[in-house]
Amino acid sequence: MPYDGGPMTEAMYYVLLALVHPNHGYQLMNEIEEVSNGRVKMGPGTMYGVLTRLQKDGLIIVINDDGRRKTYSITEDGRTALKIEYERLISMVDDGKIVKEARDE
Amino acid sequence: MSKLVRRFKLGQLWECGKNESWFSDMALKGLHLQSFGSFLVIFEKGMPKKIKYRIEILEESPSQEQLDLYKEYGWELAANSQMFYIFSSPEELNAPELHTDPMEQSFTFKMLNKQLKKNMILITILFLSFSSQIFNQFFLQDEPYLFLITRRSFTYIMIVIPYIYVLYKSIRGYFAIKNIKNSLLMGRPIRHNENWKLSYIFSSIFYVYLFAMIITLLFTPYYTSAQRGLYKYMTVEDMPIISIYDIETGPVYDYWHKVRYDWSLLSPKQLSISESGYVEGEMQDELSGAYTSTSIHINYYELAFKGMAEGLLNDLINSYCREYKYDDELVKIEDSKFDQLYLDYGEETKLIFASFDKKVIQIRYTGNADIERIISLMEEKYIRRILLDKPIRIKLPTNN
Repeated sequence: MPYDGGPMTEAMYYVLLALVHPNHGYQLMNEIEEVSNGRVKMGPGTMYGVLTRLQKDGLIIVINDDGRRKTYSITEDGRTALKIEYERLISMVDDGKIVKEARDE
Repeated sequence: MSKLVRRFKLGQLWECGKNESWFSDMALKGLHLQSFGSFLVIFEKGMPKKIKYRIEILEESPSQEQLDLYKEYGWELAANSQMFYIFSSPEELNAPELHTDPMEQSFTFKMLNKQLKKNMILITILFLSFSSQIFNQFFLQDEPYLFLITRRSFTYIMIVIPYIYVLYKSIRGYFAIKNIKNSLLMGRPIRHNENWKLSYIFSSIFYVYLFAMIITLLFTPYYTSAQRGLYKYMTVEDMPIISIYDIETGPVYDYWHKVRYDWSLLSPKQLSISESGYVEGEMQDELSGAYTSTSIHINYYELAFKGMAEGLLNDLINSYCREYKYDDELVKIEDSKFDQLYLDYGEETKLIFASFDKKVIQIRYTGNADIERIISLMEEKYIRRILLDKPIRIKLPTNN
């Protein structure tokens, strides 16, 4: 399914996020765990699935392939998509504030 | 070298849950998944072990880096077949799942889903064209029984059975994958434990049937020619036919005969015999002189089931009427020793259609002998022979 700007899966969001700094598969797994403060423990199958899909959609590219390992990086389209998603999430959190306010009253 | 054990494949590999459970159960018996053949799964004999298996669908073959990473997480590639990659992990390692996001996993089923849809459409189209042909042959024919007893119909039936199974599987497979894909999209993880036993029985039956079918179809021509060879050396006397030698009282000159043999599952013995010659005297007109011609044509069928005899007899009559534009009424003889008997006491050409037990006989005789004589010969040959259970002798040619 080409990415249409809709809500991202958690896996997709974190892979994009981690690829703001170019990285290869092995390090990426750790990076994702780090960037999510240990909350997201992604299975390797899911991660490679996301990488294949994002590459097809042009949100990331392989910037280096020495035959042994591929280094991926986010593209401009990827950054835009990530930014839109980030803003969507922010507004979701903002909208959710009424839950907290309701509790505070 | 370790011992290899082969088993038929269990359905299709996209039936993840069933295959994964099956491989695990095999590993418990010490049979570890090693590789795939076209029809077989090959296991390596070893120590019984608790092993988890996961089937991954990968569009591109995984890089070494990817395999290394899987290994790091406890999953080793056990075998692969087309785009299916089977990873294994010992139970005690407690390896994390390969897929942690059902929605992401559903995307891997998307391509498979598309492919299965294409397959299903193709198989359905082929099936429809094939089955409409068969339908025409079986039901829109004037003489369905005559078609049923041919070898061709047997081949059709043999082929159509596995085809129906393949069609059923392809339609079911498409919807099964669609369901898996949709339930993953809704966030429900894939089921890894499913009962595989019934599926295994069905797919084994299918493969055994397929092999039996291919072997049968391959050997049918050999069997046919061997049987034909047998009949070549059989004397007319030993064949279940009536010869003009039996019918005519005097000597027969210029004797000529031709025997055609065939068989099928529903009619294991089919003989078609033509004989002709000249007999002395019995002058009919001035022109033919002192000789008169005599000929007989017999179609003889032994059926596998008695219930088909009546239908086949009617078909033979219909087909004869059509072919020879024959529109005289045949006389049905009620109190004969045959199960059914239809006659035409023609002046020159005499017709007999008879059935007895599993035998159906069609005779067209041209000559001067009485039809009663032929019928009494037939009773002798077709009815008494069964009662006495006389074995058929085969005379091999003594010279040449």
